[in-house]
Amino acid sequence: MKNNSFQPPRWITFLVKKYCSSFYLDEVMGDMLEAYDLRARRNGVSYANWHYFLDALRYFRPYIIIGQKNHTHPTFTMSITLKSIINYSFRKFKKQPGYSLLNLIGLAMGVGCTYLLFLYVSQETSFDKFEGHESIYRLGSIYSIGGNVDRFSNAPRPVGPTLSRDFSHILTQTRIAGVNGLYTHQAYFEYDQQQVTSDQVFYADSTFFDVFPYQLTLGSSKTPLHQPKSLVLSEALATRIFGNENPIGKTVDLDGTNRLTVTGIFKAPDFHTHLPVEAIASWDIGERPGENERWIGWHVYTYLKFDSPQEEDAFNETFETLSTNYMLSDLERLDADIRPIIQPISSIHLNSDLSWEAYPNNQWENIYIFILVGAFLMLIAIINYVNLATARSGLRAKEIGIKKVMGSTRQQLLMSIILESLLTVLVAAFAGLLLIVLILTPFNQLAGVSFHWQDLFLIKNLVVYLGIAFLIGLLAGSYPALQLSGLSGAKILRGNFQTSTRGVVLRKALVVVQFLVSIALIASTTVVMRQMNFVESQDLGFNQHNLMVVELPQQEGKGIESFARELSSHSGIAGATLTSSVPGVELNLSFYEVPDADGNYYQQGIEFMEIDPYFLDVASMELVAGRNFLPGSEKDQTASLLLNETAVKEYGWDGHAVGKKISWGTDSLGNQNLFEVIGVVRDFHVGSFHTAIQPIAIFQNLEAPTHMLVRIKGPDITAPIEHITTQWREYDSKNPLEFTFLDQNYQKMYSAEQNIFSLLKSISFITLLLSGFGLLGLIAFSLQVRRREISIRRVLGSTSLQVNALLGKEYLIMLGIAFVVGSSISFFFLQDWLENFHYRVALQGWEFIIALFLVFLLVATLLIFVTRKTINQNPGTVLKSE
Amino acid sequence: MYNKNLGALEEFVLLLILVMDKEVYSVTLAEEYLTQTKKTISLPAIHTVLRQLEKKGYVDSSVGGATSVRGGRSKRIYSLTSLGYRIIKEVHQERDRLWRLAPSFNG
Repeated sequence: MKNNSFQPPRWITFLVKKYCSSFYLDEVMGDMLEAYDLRARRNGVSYANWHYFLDALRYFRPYIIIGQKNHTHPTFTMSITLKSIINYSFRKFKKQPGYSLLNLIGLAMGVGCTYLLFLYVSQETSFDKFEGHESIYRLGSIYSIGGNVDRFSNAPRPVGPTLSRDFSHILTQTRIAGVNGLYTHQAYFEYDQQQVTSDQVFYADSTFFDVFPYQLTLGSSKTPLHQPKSLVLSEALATRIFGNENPIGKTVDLDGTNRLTVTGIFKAPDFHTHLPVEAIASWDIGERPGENERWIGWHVYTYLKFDSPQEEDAFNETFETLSTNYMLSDLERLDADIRPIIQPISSIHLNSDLSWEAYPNNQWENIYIFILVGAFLMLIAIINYVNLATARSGLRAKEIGIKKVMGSTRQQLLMSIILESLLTVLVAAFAGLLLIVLILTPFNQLAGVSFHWQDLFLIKNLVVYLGIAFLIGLLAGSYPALQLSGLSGAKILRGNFQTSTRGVVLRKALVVVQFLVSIALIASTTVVMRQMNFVESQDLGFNQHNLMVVELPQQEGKGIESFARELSSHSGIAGATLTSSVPGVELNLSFYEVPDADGNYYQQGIEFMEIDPYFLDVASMELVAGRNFLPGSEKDQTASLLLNETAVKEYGWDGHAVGKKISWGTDSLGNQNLFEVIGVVRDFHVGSFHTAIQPIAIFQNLEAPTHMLVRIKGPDITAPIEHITTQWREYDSKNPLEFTFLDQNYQKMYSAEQNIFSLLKSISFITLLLSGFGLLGLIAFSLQVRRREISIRRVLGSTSLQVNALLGKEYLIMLGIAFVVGSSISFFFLQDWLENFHYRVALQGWEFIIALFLVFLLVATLLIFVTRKTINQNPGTVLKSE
Repeated sequence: MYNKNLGALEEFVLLLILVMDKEVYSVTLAEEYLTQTKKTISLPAIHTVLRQLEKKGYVDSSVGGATSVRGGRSKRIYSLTSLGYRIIKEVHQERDRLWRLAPSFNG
């Protein structure tokens, strides 16, 4: 009867034993084995094997797995349930509130900041990702004229329509430009005697809505921009102008010059875009005679919709055909070359840095910086958790020992410690959420975004948040879990538990990393601050303070000249000047001919300014040679110019520039228009310190100035501003006075650097703080281990200073390592960053010493603070207790 | 009264227990099922039915002896309770009564 030759597959038996609860295991296993034996003898081994497997599969039922309360055989297994873990965590928190709070704050900051940075990165990388964006491109142009290369984000006016007419794979195109000049898109609307301003007003081809997928909600026409003088508004702007009235068919005045009829309303797009618009007027309002046929200059933003995503090379050929057909004569005349640059629309926001962008774009570098910072913070939060957890492992050893002896398996302990860390991180995640709600406003300013606190609580974002928290909890919990659960229970309880050196090395390495990051960040902050101070304190070649920039409405009459002259009668105003060029704004580029040493003229690209005779005085610019334009002089208006020092140097005219003649354009008979150099202006910075000063030619032009600069004497600026405002209202009742101050405009040129500066400041602070937490844990741990040693030393007569020095020695070594590595890494990064500036400070080394000193100060303070209690303890008590 | 709380398989298993003259547990029940119906039934199916019957109070169980063919595992032996006996009897009588009321079937 008995036959042992039939052995069922071991792995199936193993699986059943794994899943089956102990309550049912006997009967289930016994039945399966008996049936197996029966089947094997009757139907063969393979039949039996197969049914054994099927049985195992079918026994996998909830009631079998869960089992029932076992009344007959109580076994001595530790049951570690979620409830007991929560209980335990709370008790631990109560017992050591200080440590637990440190831990929690560190984690909360880490998780919260990482979340914020994630939100930022995911928003910035999602620009213009609407359906079908893959085949839409913006067409820019690269000009080389006389050795100068310019990369424009836009193209001449006829290019778009001609391309879409001549080439069948271009489905459609649309051109768009700001209503007050290419990249100036601020305007005001007047309806029912109410004025509403918007800074997103453009005019565009009627094909605009074929390229951009804006959804029209009101208006009958599918092509609302088809009629001349029509206007399409966003829902928000329409409400601001018309309130609750139905805007369709209403007429509204644009900038006091154009009367437009509203033909459509569109819904705000559900994607972020590099080209936000609130109002689009029909193309005809931007049309001036002849401009639509100009193949060089008079650019507009041009968007092309292809039938499929494009290769850049393929498009270059297409464009070459176009330029040979239409632009050849112009290009030859100018000795110029034009190449296209097509940018996928979704890449513009992060990749495009061309001249005359409608809005400033972001850069990939910023995204990388934010990702890096996020990773840093996460790393530091994890390091801290691991550090504090391992530091306390001595205290937990007894607990682990008892649990082990009571029958806990290693897996159970592993799970319970990881669960505990997950629980801690979860609590920290809630705290972190509150934390970022608090810092949201400063963060928005810093990153140039506009998150609302409700964005933080969107389900899709919260899922990621919990994901981040889970990841941090898992990473942070696994090292302590592996280390602690690996301890031998019996050894601990016998008292043989020595704090092992394994963990110590790791913990020291982690603290070195924190020191390193802190030093690198502090040094970077110092260097960036020095550069920003340098930029602000440097002499620009003119006085940018208390200089008011008034924007003049288009088509301003002649009266503006006398208006400007009369302003200086006010005691607070030093003078006013009318100009077409404002420092701090990119200058226009042209070309003229310059004589070489033999008197032969050759072509030169040149940046030029157009000013009136008062400009130099008002801006406080200096002449190094010759004279200024004379008011009223006919010759100075048509045949004189000023050069800057750089231009003079470039042409090799040092010392004898005055009197030289250059040729600019031709008159109606085709003769050269000669201009005589009457003066040389000391070099001044019109752009940012990123670029070198270029040769600049300054002409006098009193026609159609775009700006008025007013020098205010100061320090009182309110009275002069009031005076100007009242005068202006008398002078021009239609247009409100719009002005800025030049030094503010200048600061805007460095907004990217300012942002990085503030980011660095806050991150250095957070890192230093978190490093402090980590350090606190480490010091406390080493104190605990060396309590006896310290007591003996105290008994033998060591002073507290000596003890501190002894303990501090190892931190000095760690600090030294961190300093060498941290400062060399940041040295290269900073060198790289400074190279962005043409005018920059040099790295001097003491920035790194300052960083070292600050971190040293932190270490010393913490050390003295933490050891004070131990050192002042009665050594006798300590020694007796062990 | 006809008890609706008794499934077809449950009723059949009760009947099998009633007629079996050896120890009743999952393996022997599955064997008896095979003998009586010429169809196989899996151990987990029998086990689940027995557990249900025990919950309803129609069968009782006790832990029985282990044999070497069972790998030294004890078995759970089932027997009919008086409630279980009464219930299948009632089911039987109810059906009988209905059969007697039925007119002869003529295709």
